[in-house]
Amino acid sequence: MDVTIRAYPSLHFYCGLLIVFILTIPSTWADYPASGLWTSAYDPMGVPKHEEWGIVADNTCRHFHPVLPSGYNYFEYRAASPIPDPPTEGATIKIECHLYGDANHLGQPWATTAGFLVYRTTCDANSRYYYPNSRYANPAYVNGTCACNVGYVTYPTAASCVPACPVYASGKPCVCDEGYEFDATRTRCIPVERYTLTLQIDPPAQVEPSQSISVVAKVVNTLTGQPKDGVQVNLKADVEAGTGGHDHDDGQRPKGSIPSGGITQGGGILEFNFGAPAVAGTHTITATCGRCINNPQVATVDVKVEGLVPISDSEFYALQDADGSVIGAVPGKHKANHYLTPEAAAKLAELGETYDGLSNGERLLHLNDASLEWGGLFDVGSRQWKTPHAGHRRGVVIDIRASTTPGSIPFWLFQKFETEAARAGTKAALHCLDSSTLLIGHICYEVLNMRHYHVQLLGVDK
Amino acid sequence: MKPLNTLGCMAGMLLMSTAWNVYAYPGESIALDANGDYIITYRSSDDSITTLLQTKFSPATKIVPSIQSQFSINGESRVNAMPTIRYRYTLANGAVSKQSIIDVWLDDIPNSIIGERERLTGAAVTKVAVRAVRTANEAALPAPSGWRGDIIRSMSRIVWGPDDYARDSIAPGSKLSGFSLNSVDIPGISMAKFRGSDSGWAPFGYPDEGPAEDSAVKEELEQLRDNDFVTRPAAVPTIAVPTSFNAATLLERIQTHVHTWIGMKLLDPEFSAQLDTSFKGAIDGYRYNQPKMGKSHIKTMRALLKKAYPDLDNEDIVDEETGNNKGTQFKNGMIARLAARVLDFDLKYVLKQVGDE
Repeated sequence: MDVTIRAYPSLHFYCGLLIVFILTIPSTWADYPASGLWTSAYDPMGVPKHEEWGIVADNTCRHFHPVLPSGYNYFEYRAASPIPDPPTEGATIKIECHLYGDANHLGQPWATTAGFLVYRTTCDANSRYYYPNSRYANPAYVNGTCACNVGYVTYPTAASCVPACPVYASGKPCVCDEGYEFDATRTRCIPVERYTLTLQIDPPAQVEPSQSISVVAKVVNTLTGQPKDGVQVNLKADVEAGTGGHDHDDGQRPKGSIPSGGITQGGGILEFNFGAPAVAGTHTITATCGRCINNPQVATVDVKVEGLVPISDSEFYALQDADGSVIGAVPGKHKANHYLTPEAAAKLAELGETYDGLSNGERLLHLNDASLEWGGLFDVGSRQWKTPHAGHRRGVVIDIRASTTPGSIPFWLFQKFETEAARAGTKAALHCLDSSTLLIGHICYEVLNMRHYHVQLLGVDK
Repeated sequence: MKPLNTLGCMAGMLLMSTAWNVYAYPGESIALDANGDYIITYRSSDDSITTLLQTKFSPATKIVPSIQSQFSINGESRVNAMPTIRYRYTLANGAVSKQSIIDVWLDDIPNSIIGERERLTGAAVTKVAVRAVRTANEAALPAPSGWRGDIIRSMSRIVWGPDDYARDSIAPGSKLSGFSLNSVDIPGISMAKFRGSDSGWAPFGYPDEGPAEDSAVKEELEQLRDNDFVTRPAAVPTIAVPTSFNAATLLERIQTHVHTWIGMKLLDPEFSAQLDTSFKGAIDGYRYNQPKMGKSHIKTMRALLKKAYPDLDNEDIVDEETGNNKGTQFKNGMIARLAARVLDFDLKYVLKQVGDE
């Protein structure tokens, strides 16, 4: 099989051209896109490397270079090896280039060089064909193959070429180096953002029981100093044992209500409400967020009724029994049970003085529970964190003994005591613990030991 | 006191309540019984008690009280060169009352009365000292036999009550006089409060810790207890006389107080407007050193009052409003007789102090 291409350039012209071509051919010659054609791996004549070769009907291969001008010496290529039919990926044929000189050498090859034509098919995206071994092809591909383009690689888990690891990344698949992360396009590793988280509550970070207070979590980019939106902040509420006047503690103690978390927006802010429980105490809010360098952040909120003061000692009432024990106090549960607002305390003093007059100076009011140090739900009895101690939450109510216990207001003074209480703008009602019977008109007469006057010192209990 | 006897009222209360949420729990009620007592059925604040509980509230309002106020300048007594005014009261209990009167309160007395001693505070509070103050204050409040007066200064209140409720209270159809006090402040009008009781009195209370705090029943009951008295207008020393006498200032104070009578339904707004014209003239007259003009306007006001009550000077006539169970109505459409007497007295007081009376 002959492959013949005739042309007529001058011999000197072509020899010079060949030399120039060999010296200037770039190593990337093998990088031209595949197209499913016979193409030159090594052009013996140094014709422009991007020109392609085709198989013609007479089974010669021919270079489709523009025809040389007439009158010049010619050259031809001939296939020096069989041409596979059909060709397969990577099939090669050897070609020879025969140059023919002027009349003195007519019919005789003046010079012969050899090259290869390779059949290549279409490669997958991000890859191209590498020619078989030749001096311009990638020597790694002896037999010719599709291989990933520069900047792309194949991974064991990837069927096709995928971008190679960018700068600051390594591994298969790529993992950004420590301190870096992919950008949104996943083509670059950029320095990882770090945030600073703060929790803000308006001073004095205090809220009344059963009320709510606004809390703000703010996230700031540590690099830029700018607020960061879109950051998930996780929240958790807890309560400190032994606070709020409650010396007892268990897992059932009510905690404040907050959301489990949220996403910052509108200036790197997550604003939420802390819903205070009915029980006073010091509560903690713990906030964390991903990439925050100062996790966790903890803020405290005091759930309390502000301004309660201990009832001061007086000649007109007793806070302790004869044995020195504080009336109504329960060691291990509530040891301080005599707190009131200053206004209520003043009214109590007034009531004590009046009672002194009623009893001709022979009796003292014996004071049972008022409010706890920080107010809030006063869980008397065996029940934890629950009523029934109605009122007693805001320092305006006090219980005064009215049973058969020493120091109680005697029954014969009940009406006068109630009258005096009403005159002073307070309201006194008997309380006792006998819900098993209806006691209309005979309230607590038969229930002596727990009976007491529940006195709303300012006329209200809220 | 206006009886509220069904939970039907609570719907309105619920709508009006803004500070606190209240709930009408199923089965709760307040009902008025045949004796005028309230039967309260409520859910306990103790959530371990699942049954409804009941109690009874017997109001102290089963009385028809009246009070006759008399006031006059005590010519013998002066304090800081200011004349003192003697206030005397006669109390009565209507024959239809179901209870005896055991308690009388006079409110809106902002300043100390003659003989009153200040309440002690701090280290001065000892039993001996407190009793001395109490004794002095009782002495400052003369009362009929068996009754004792007291001053609740924190409430700007003077009270009288019997030592022995059963023996000395004012029974239905009875009258009791002899209550008095002295003050340098001139009279205004405040609503005296009366409370009654009977032999069946029982303390009010609950067989537990009471109704749930957010219960509508509790709200309504609290209102009943807050208003557990019957009111009647009475003349009390409520208008302070400037220490350094100034007729314009005192007239301004009188005028300000007189305006409160409209709300008490003791003064018709149109008549008040007529008075205001003269008040302004009188105040301006004394303020700008035109005493004749001031005096003229005061005389105009007194003439208006005289026109409303030609017998205004006759203290023997019982003010019609004092015996009226409504308490605050007046017949002539202009001003209640007590109010006219008080204002006339105050105006005469001004004239006397400026030397024109």
